[in-house]
Amino acid sequence: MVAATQKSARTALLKRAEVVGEFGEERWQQLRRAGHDLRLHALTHLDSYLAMAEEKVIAAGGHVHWARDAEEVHRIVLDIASQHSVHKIVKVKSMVTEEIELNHVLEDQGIKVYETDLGEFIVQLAGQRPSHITAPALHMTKEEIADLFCEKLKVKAEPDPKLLTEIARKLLREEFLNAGMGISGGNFLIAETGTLVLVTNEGNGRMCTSLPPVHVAIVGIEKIIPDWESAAVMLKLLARSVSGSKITAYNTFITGVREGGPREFHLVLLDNGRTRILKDEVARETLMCIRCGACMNTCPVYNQVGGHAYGAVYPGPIGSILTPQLIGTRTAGGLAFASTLCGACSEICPVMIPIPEILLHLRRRYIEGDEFESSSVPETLKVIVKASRYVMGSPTLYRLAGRLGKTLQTPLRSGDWIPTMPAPLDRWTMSRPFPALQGDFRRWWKTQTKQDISGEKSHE
Amino acid sequence: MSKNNLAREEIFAKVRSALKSFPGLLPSPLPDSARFEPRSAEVWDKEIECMLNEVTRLSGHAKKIQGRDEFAGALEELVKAEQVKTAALSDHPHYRNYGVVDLLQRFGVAIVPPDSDKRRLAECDLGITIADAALPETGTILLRTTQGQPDILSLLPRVHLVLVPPEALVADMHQAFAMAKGDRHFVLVSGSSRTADIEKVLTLGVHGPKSFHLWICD
Repeated sequence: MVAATQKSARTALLKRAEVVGEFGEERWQQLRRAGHDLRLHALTHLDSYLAMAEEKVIAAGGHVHWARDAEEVHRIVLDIASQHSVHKIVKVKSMVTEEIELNHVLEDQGIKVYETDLGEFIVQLAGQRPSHITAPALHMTKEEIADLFCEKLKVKAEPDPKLLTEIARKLLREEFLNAGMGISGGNFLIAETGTLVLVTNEGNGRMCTSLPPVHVAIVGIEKIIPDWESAAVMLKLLARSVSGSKITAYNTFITGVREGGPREFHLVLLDNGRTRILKDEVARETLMCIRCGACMNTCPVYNQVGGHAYGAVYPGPIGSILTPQLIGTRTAGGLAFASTLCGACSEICPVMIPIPEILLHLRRRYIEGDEFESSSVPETLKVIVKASRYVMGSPTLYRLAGRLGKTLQTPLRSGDWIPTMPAPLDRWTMSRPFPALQGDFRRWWKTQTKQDISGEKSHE
Repeated sequence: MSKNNLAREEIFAKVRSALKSFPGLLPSPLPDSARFEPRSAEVWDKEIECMLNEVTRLSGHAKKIQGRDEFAGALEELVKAEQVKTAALSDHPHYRNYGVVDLLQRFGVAIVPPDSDKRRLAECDLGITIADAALPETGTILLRTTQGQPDILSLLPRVHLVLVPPEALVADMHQAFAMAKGDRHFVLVSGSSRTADIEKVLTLGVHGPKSFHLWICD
C-alpha cells in the first residue's frame, strides 16, 4: 500500500513541477500570491459574499438551503428526494459529502447511491474511505482492483487500467440515465453571479448535473470566491496543483436552472464547524484550502503512512489542521502532532496556507485548552511543559538542567538505559526503554572542534 | 421554511461575530495583489499552432482546415476511421455553409436532432459542436449551452468533433469568462474524458467521449 501511495504521489509531483516550470516560476509565485489574497479577502468578507451568492442563485431560479450541521443537510436532501420519489442517486466525488457521511443516511432510507468518479466508485465497492482527496483509490494496485471487480460486480476483470475503466463506464452510463437525482459538491461558488463551478476530468460531474431531473449541490460556506476574475486565477492554480495538468478536462459553470437541464437546482450551504474555524485569526487560513491534495503528495509523513492512517475524512497535512478544528482538538488534536514540521506542505500549497504555523498553534490549543474545549492534558504534564519551555528558553538553566538530569537519573538507571520512567513520563517507556543521559555534548563539541582545527592545520 | 431561516440567521450571526462585521456591509474592493495579469496573445499563426499543439498534447486530434473540399475530405475520413453510423450536430448558422448534414448523409450517416432524448444521444456515435471561444494556452474550448447546442451533445456521443471558427480564439480564460459569465450554463472542454485513478495510468474515455477531434475551419 505504501509503495502504491509513494509511486502515485511521485508521478503527480513530477508532472506538477513540469507544468509549473512551463508557466514560469516567477509568474507562478505571483499567481499563488493572488490566490492567497483573494481567498483570504473572500473569507474576511464572507457574510457579504454569501448574501450576494444567495440572491443571485434565487434570481436564476435555484433554491438555497442553509445547514448548520450534517444532520440538517441529511434532512434537506432526504426531503428533496422524497418530494421527487427518488430511488437512485448519482454522485460526483465530493469531500464535503464524505465529511457529513451522506451516503449512509441515504442508503438507510433505501436509496441507492452511485459514486461515479472512478476512484471513488472503487473505494465505495471496497467499503473503504478515500485515502487521498483527489485520487481516492491511490492506495490500491490494479491487481487488487481487478479482484474487487470480479468479486463485487461478478465480471471477468483483467488487471489493466483501460479494461477496468471500461467496465465502470458501461455500468455507470446506465445509472446516469436512470438516476432521479444528481448530487455534487462544488469546487467554487462565484458570488458575483451565484455560479457553481465544478471541475472533473472524467465527465461524471457533467453527467450528474445535466442528466437527472434534480441537481443538489452541497457546498461548504468557505468555497465562495468574489468574481469571475478570481475564478480564472483559482482554476489555473487548481489544475496544476492537483495532477500537473494545465487545465482539468471539464470545467462546468452552473447558474440556477436552465432550459433543457435539470428542472430543479438546490444549493445547500453548510457550516458544520466552519464559522468556528473562522473565529481563530491564526487558524482561519485553513479555510482557504481548495482541496488539491498537493500537500499530501509532498508530505514525507503521508508518503510513509498513507491516507487511512490519519483516521479521518481529510488526510495529510491539511487534514491534520482541518480535522482537529472541525471535530474538536480534544478528539483529534493528536493529528497536529503527526507532522515533522518540515514545511514542504506550505511551500507547495497553491494558496500559501501556513500549515506548519497552524500546526504549532493547534498543538498549543490542545495543551492549553481553547475557547471551545478545555485542555485534555493532565495538569502535571502541563506544569512540566511550561517548566521545560522556561528552562529551554535560557542557556544557563538548560545547561544546569542537563547536569542535574545526569545526577537525578542515577536511581532509575540500569546500565545504559532507563527501563521505566516515573509518571507522567512513563508513557515514553511503555514499550521501550529510554537511553540514559550520557556525556556532555558541549564539552564534547569544544574538544572535537579543537581537534578538528588542529587536524586541519596539520594537513596544511 | 422557518427552520431554514433559523439556520440561515444563525450562520450569518456566527460569521459576523467571527469577523466582527455588521449586517449590510458591502465587501471592500479586492486588493490589487489578488489580481493576475492575463496572458497576452501572440501573432495569429502562433496562436493557431499553439492551440493545435495543446490539443494534441491532451491526446486529442487537431487540424487546421481550409475550404469546403478539404472539410469534406476530413469529414469522410473521420466517419470511416471512427466507424460513425449516427451523428447529432449543433444548429449553428455559420456551418450551414459547409453543408455538414448533406455531407454526412452522403457518407451514409443517420442524423439525430441535437435536442433529442438523452438515451438517443447516448447511442449516437458522433456529436458535432461549434466552439464559442478557444484558449490556445491550454487547448481549451468554451461551449455555451443553448437549445441548439445542449451540454450533453458534447458529452454523450462516443466521438466529439468541435469546429472552431478562427475568430473564436481568445488569449486567456479572462476574456472567455467576460463573454459567457451571464449564461445560465457553459462548459470548458479540454480533450477527451480522462482518468488516472488506477495507478496514475492515463486512460481516455471514462464517462464522456472516448475521442476528441478539433478542427480550426476558415
